[in-house]
Parts: sequence; C-alpha cells; structure tokens
Amino acid sequence: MNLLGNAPSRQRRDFYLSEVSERVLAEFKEDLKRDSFLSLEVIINDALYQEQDRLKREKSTVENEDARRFWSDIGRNFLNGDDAEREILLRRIITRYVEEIHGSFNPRLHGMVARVVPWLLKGVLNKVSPASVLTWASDKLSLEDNLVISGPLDEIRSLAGKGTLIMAPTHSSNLDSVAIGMGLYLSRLPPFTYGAGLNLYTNPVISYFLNNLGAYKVDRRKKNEIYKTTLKQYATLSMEQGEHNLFFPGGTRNRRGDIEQHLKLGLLGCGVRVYVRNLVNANPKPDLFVVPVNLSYGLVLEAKTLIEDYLKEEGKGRFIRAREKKGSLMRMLDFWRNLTRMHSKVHLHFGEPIDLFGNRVDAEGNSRDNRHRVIDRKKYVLENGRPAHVPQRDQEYTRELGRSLVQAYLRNNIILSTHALSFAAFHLIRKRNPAFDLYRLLRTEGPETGIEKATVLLSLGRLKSGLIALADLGRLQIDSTLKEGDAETLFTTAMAHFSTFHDGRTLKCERGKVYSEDMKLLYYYRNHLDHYPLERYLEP
Amino acid sequence: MKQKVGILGGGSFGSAIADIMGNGGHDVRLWFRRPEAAENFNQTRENLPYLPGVILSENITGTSSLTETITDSAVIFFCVPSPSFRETAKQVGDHCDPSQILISTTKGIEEGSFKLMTEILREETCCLQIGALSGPNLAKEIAVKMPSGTVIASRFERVNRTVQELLSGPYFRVYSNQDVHGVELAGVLKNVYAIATGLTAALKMGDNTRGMLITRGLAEMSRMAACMGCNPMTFLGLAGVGDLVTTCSSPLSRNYRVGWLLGEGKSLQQAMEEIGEVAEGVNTIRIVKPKLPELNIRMHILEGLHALLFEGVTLPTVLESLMAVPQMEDVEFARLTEGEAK
Repeated sequence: MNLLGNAPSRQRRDFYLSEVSERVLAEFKEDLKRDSFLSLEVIINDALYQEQDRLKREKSTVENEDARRFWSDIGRNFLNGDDAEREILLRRIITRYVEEIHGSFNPRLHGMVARVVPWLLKGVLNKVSPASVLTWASDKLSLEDNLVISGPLDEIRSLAGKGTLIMAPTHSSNLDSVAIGMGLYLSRLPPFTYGAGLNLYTNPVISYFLNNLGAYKVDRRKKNEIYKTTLKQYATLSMEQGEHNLFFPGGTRNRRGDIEQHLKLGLLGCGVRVYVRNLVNANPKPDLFVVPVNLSYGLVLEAKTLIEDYLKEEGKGRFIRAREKKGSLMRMLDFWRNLTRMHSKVHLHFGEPIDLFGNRVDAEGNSRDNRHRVIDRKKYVLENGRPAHVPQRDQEYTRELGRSLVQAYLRNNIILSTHALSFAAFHLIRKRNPAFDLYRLLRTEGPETGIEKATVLLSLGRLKSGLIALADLGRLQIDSTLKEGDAETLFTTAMAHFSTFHDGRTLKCERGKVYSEDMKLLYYYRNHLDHYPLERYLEP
Repeated sequence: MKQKVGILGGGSFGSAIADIMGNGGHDVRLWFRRPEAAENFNQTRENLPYLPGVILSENITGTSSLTETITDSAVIFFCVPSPSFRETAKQVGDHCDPSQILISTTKGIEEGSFKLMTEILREETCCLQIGALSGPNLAKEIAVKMPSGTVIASRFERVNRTVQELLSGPYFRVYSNQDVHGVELAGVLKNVYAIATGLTAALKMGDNTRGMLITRGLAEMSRMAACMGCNPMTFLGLAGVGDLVTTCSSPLSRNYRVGWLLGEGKSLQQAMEEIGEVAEGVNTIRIVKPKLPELNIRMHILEGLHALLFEGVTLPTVLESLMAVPQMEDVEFARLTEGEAK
C-alpha cells in the first residue's frame, strides 16, 4: 500500500530508511530464532570479513577510505558488547547500506526530467568526449530518431493503472538503461524505479540522469548477507509502495551475445513476497505484472570486451586475448557515428505482460493459461486457505517466471542484418574447418581464410528464408531489411554497419572474398541467433 | 490431516493407490471413463477387470464425473495411459485451480512433441505444483499389500511432503526426489531393457547376460537423461535401478513378455496380439530412436531393438553388432563431482 502518496523526497528517504531497517532487522531476528547455530556475532562477522577482504583488494578512493574506517570501527566494537549492543551495530550497518542504495527518485520530478532527456543525452556525450571532436555528433544526435519501439503499449499502459509493473529487459550494454529510460518516456509509460549497477554512476551526467529517473544503487561487489537482504527489502518496499520497478533479470550484461538461457532473477524474486503482503494487507491493487523487454542492437558498444570476458572465463588457457587497440572514448565516438550516420536503430520491444507465475496477462489484468482460460492467481499463494509467503514454493514460482521470460525473450528477439550475416559467415567458416575446436576457430582470421562472396550470399539467402519461416511461426522477430530485402541488400546493409565500428574488423569483403579480422566479434554477433533451429536452413 | 483426493483412471495402478489412501482415511474419488464401470465399482467395491478378487477401501467413491473428482481435491493423480494423457489434462484444466497439486503416475513420452507427462500437465493446466510418481510398483502386488516403495519427484517440497503423507503406510514407502524429469525418464526407458532381457531369457542366455543388459541399460538410460538436463544419480534410486531390476526380472511385466515372444521367433505383431495389451517399451523405442542424433548420444541396446522391430534386421545380426560395440568406460559418470552431476 502506498503510504507516501506524493510525499517530498526527504520524507520518502526517511520512510525508506526506517522501514527497510526495521524489516531487515526483523528478518535476521527470524533467522536467529530458526537457526540455533546462527548469532548476531556470526552475521556481523561475515559481513565484516567480506567487506574488509573486498576493500583490501580495491584501490584507495575517498569512498573506500570511508568504508575502511567504518568497518574497522565495527570490527573494534562487535566482540566487546552484548547482543543489545550488537543489534545497534547491525542497525548501523543496515542504515549505511540503505543510505547507499537509496536514490533520489521522486515521481513528481520524473515528468520534468524526462522532458530534458534528449539534452541530457547530449550531455552524456559531451561529458565523456572532447567537445571539439563531437560537435558534429552533438548537433545531429537524436536518439529519438534511432529508437524503434514496438509491442502492446496500450495494454501495458492500462495495466500500469491496475497494478505494479516490473519491467524486465534483456541486458547487453551499459546503454540499455539510457535506451530504456528514453523508451519509457516516448511510450508515455509511468516512471520506473530501478537498481542500476554502481559502475554506471561513475559518469556524473549518467549518474544525475539515473538518480532523477528513479534509480537506486546496486553494488554487485558486496555479496554479504546483510547487504543482499537490505537490497531485497528495499526493492520489496518499493514495489509494495506501488512503484513500478525495472530489473535486469540476467544480472549483469550478457557477455556471450545470445539470448540469456539462465536468468539470475535476483530481485525479481521479491515479487511473490510483495504480492502476498499486498493480499494480506488487503491492498486494493495487489497485483504485479512483469513486462519482458528485448533490446536489440545491430552493433553493441562493448561487444569486444564482453565477448573476450566470456571467452576468457570459458576457455581459460585455450583463449588468447589480443591487446585492445582503441580507447573507450574513440569507441564511443565510432558507435555514435554509426548510430547517427548509418541510420542505425536500437530496437526496443515490449513483450506481452505475464504474471509472477509465468502466465500471460490480458489487457484487463486477468491471468490466462495456455488455452486462454482465466486463472484465479491468488490461489497460487494460499497456504491452508490464506495467502502466505513460503520461501521454497515462491522460489520455484520465480524459476517458472524465469522460464517464461526466457521464452518471451526468444520470441521477441529482433534479428537485424548484422546478426544474420554473422551467423551465415560463421557457419561457413566452421564448416570449412570441421576439425577445429571453438578456440582454434576463433583464431582463423585474415584474408587467406576468405570465402567466396557468392557462397556467403547463397547461405545468407537460405538463412533469410529460415528466419522468415520462424518469424511466421512467432518464434522470433525480424526487421524490415530481412523481411523485404534480397540477400545482396542484406549483405550490403550489414557490411555497411560493420565497416563503421570495431575498426571494420568484424567482417571484410575484398576481391570477392569475405573474411573476418576478428572472429571473436563475428562469434559474438552470430550468437544473437543461437537457440533457434537455424542450422538446417543453411544446408541445401 | 484427512484430505480429499482425486484419481483419474480406474485401472490397476489407480485402484491400488486409491486403496492405500482410502485405508489411510482420506476421501478418495476414483474416476472411471465409463459410468457403468464407476457404478459397478460402487456396488461391489471390486475393480473386476483389473484387480479381480481385491476388495477396496470403503472411503473410495467411483465416479465418471471429472468435476466431482477434481473440485476441492487437494491432490489429483493422473493414472491414464499416455496416448490419452493430454486430452485428459486439457479437460482437467477446465476445472482445476492453482492451489491444487497434480501428480502424474503415467510412464510415457508424447509422440511428436517428445514431451514428458509433467510437461503436458504444465502446458494444459494452470497448476505449477506438479510431481511425478514412479518406481517398482506392480499394481497387483501393491493391491495385495506386499511391501513396496516408490519415488515422488517434484521441485516443490510441499508436493513431495503431501504425497508422502498421503501414500506412506504399513506396506508402502515413498521416497522423495527433486529431479522430476529424471524420475519420469527412468520410468519410461526401463521398459526398453525389459524387452531386451525378456528376449535373451527366451534365447536361454544366462544370468551373466541379464546382468550385463540391465547394467548397460542403466548406463544408456542415465546417459540420455544427463543430456536432457537430468541428474544421472537419480538412476541409482528406486525409480531407476529399482524399477529396472523389477521390470527386467518379472514375467508379470508386459514388456518382458513381448521380449520373450520375440525371442521365441514371433514377429512384433504376433507378440502384441498374443499379449493383447499395450507394451509401452515398443512405443518408447520408436519415439526415442529418431531423437538420438539430435541429442548427440548413442544407445546401442535401444538402437539394436529398433533395428530388430522396425528395420527388418535379423536377431543374430543385431546380437552380433551389439557384441561388437566399442567397449567404453564402465561407469561414465563416476568421475563427475557432485556439482557437475547436477
């Protein structure tokens, strides 16, 4: 139930501070009651150990120095006192975390801020790049023109008035937050609050933008139970207050370039608990609706570092990392140049809303089963006839929701020309080198590995038919170039994009031969088409 | 706590578990497709076609009404044959609600979709608290109260706990597992190896042969399950080894009998006609074999039976090729750590 209404942000902050602290404390007290081996000492000691260990590994910053002082103070005190004193220490830690997590989100500010979003975006660029280099971009830049929004927006707007929305986007780039912020504004959707990774706050303009658009800070380096519980209770309270929330269920940015198959779910798991509390408290709008959102980029700003991180982790000794040749500033410039000059688009697709149990929700807010029969969804959470939070059961419900989200992401995945060409080209290179494992294949680069353009076009044409067939079955989405253009047009469009970014190394075409100078990038972009039965279309 | 329970399917297994729960004092609705079968049962308390001579609990009410069976039942057991499973589930979907627990006791894979029965329940109903019951459970033995055990598998602790409370008794034990698809696959695949052991028994091959067939069958089953995301360790339990050993040793098993008749030189059609009932193992061989390239695994015994039953290959040739299969590691999963096995 929203206890705050349109309360000023100071009042909201105080409310969160006291309410979240009380809830976290209460949760730990419950744990202590249940588990006789657990004690306040153990709980605090675990956090102390993890935080000090983390701070030892991190470099000295003003924030870290402050944290070091804080934790050594906790360390000095927690062994001396009794349980009452330890509770005061626990409260101090929780309060520090809530203050850190809390953003300065205020729904009333949102409208005003959203109006200046385009200006802020220009600001983002100008702040991170020398103004002289970017003057041209700044003048021409309008993300509005480069953002293609699709999906059942009327339905989602209607549901926003009937319950609390949870926006759950795929996550491949740090620009996702910006693109979604913009997309929400352009779609006339209400303000959302979301947990943004601390790394996004390093840029002062993005930081300002995030704060005002309703972000709170999530610090993934902190893995201790006190922090995780505080974060969960914070998100829970926010949803209980009827604030629409945005979570990236994949956790961090997807490093492989495909549609995530195993979501971490994290804060999304608070949804069922909120729903139960809303029912217990007879909240007139107890429902929560999850909206899967697909973000699709023809080119991804951080593609190179993402895929290299992935390969390093998976391949270990088998992966040899090349040295990064270009600074992040120049990469950003190339990216924006591609976006503006090439009329490149960022595709944002809002999927059909689902409930917390993975069922489709209609425009009236009814949950429907696969045969469109209405489901009495509150019965999912009944225990002996009354709504109750049962952790193990609710965890399973969230897994089910995760499964439905993955299916929705696959269905709503928008395939662009760069993905299709990468998939076809990678397939041909792999076919030519059947004995190579992935890591050796990823070193098969350069003009001498080139494949006849005519062969690539043939494969691309076949792949296009496969993609159209799958799109007709509703298993994925394709953009207009794929729908209307022939293989040659598709090839030309994709190559034009590739030539403007990653130094043109992803794919090159010279003297009638197509080759890659960076197979890792080719692999990254082809992965966007993973998890579909497409290989069979590539063969005659 | 006494509960209302619905059982769909008045065959031998449905009746046997109805009796356990009825004897536990629970209010059991046993659904028969034909109204006259329900009426006969209510008058005589005997399920004459399937469990002749066994008088079942007074707490069981026979009915042909799905609504009556489902409404207010805390748990609904599906004991219908796999070909009619989806249709029954679809009808149940009209009446059930998300607070109810659905349990599949049917062992089968759906032709075409390659789906397991719990997957069909998820697709055709709004229920999520779903489980599978499987184990060495010859209905005729349970009905006469011979000690037996089974496995209930669900991701939901509540489902496992509830079914354990409902079915455990002086002659029936229920063990729990979370690997739902593993338990289901074990129940499906063991029939294949029952055919193989029946066949070799008819050929007067010895106990060594049977021991090897059962063990290598177990290896094939767990190999397939692991590549479908299940835990191969599940196959060491009652639903795996337990059921496999029972089915491969019992002349009561239809699949074993089919194998025996094939070993005597009968054709598949002759064997099926002689038995007069469905032998699920034959269907399983037919459905699983074409899926193997996609799964990227070999199941030599299953493939050999497919060649014999559907490809016109003679029995000596099949046996010869099976004995020529490359000899790999004995226990494929022995080197897996616990984490990897999951």
